[in-house]
Amino acid sequence: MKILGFPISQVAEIRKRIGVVFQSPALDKKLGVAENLKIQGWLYGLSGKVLEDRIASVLEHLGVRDRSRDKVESLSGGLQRRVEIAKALLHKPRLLILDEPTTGLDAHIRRDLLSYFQKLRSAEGMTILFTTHYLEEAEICDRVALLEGGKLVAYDTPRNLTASMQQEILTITAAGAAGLQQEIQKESGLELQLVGEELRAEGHEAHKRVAWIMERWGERIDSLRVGKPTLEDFFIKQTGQRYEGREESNV
Amino acid sequence: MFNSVYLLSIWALVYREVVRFFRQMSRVIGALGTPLLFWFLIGSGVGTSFQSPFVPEGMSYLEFLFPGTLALILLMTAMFSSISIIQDRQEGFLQSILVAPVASATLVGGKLLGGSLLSVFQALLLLLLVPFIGIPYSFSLWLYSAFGLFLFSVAMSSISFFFAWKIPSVQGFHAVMNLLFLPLWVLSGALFPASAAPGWLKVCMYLNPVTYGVASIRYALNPAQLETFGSPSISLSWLVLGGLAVLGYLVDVWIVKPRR
Repeated sequence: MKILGFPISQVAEIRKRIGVVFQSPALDKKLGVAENLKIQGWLYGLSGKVLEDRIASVLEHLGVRDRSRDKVESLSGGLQRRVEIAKALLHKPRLLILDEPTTGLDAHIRRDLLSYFQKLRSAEGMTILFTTHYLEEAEICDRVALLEGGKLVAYDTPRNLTASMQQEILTITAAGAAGLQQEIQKESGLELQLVGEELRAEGHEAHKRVAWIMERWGERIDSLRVGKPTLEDFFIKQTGQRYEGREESNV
Repeated sequence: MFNSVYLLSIWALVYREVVRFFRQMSRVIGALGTPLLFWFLIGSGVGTSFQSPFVPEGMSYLEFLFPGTLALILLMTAMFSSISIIQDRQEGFLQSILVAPVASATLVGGKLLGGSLLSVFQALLLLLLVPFIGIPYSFSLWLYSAFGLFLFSVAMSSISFFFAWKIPSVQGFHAVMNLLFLPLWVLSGALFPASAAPGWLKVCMYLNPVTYGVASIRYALNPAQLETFGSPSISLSWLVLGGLAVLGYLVDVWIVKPRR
């Protein structure tokens, strides 16, 4: 097996070229933002003016340059995460690995982060590997690997993954979903999958059944939706459950 | 191995250790205050209530106890700096060092060097008090103290590094280190000299590495003390401390090395 063209035995060469952001914070809280990055830079063999410029540049890009003198412990969780990512980018890695980088962040910060990842991918040609609980984040990736119980369930581009499904997904939410499943299945011939309180069906022309289903069982149905398949639909189809595990996405 | 990248990484770890230390003044106070209080209270109390049979005429018990106080400072600072290893692991900082292109030898070296410089610095601060026990400042005093204290400190830091690496919690580490270091300190010739101890205890004292640390400090203060109190010779002391420092370093590197 090779990583970035190096056999796995050449750990030192590989380590020089990867950046890692762990799920748990790995900053020294007693030190300032710039100090943390300085130490990181030294560990990667950077020093002097080169290092200073790199620190200024990554902090600028992640929008935390004005906090460079502050102690890490005085920063909010979201800002700390950005410093953490800045730290991993300091030595211009070719491969950036992040373990759930967006967990616990506000929606707009998550969006910013993802668009920054896309920028890194296109501008620097960096490979970014990250895990996430949010399936919509995986839609921007080049490749998605779905893991369930530690096993690889699927690995392909998001488009191919959802293309393997039929055109439309019909979702019914109802309190007595299990009972409805039998009835609707029997009368409509639709193959319904029970997932929690939801019934799901795949079909080319599922939307044509909407009015009929609502007329017949409308009283007992809370909501009925028809849409194009998403990665989440794909995951549910594969595993028969709501997404709770992990997933790795390869931008 | 000893290229500039290696030195830069060591420097990074030492720098971090030192900056962190001075940002936490409670650590400075704890590591210096306790031994100092010990020294003053035990020294004054024992000195006035007993005529210690083993302290020669003209020497106070405070003076006798002084090298042991320095040794206690070293033991405590070695312990404190190793606690940071456990914290680093809990805070995740250790992970980020482990994925960096930093060898185990560098990680251990930086940690031991940083901790030891701080220990020696604190012990030397206390050494400023020697005029109060009737010993004048001299070049050889500082030189021999610094050298002996450094070897002693690396040796003790490597031992506490070992336990900090193996023990998951700060509390557990504290308990184990107290159990280990306190008896070693008591049996080091700090409180009473080997010359006054019964035969079996004398053997224990000679097997105790801290004894050689205390001896090296006694030597720096007053070379004649070694013979008076039946301490090991200075060359043997330096040899034991240096050997232990190297051995401890190698063992630490070995336990840190990733297994495949």
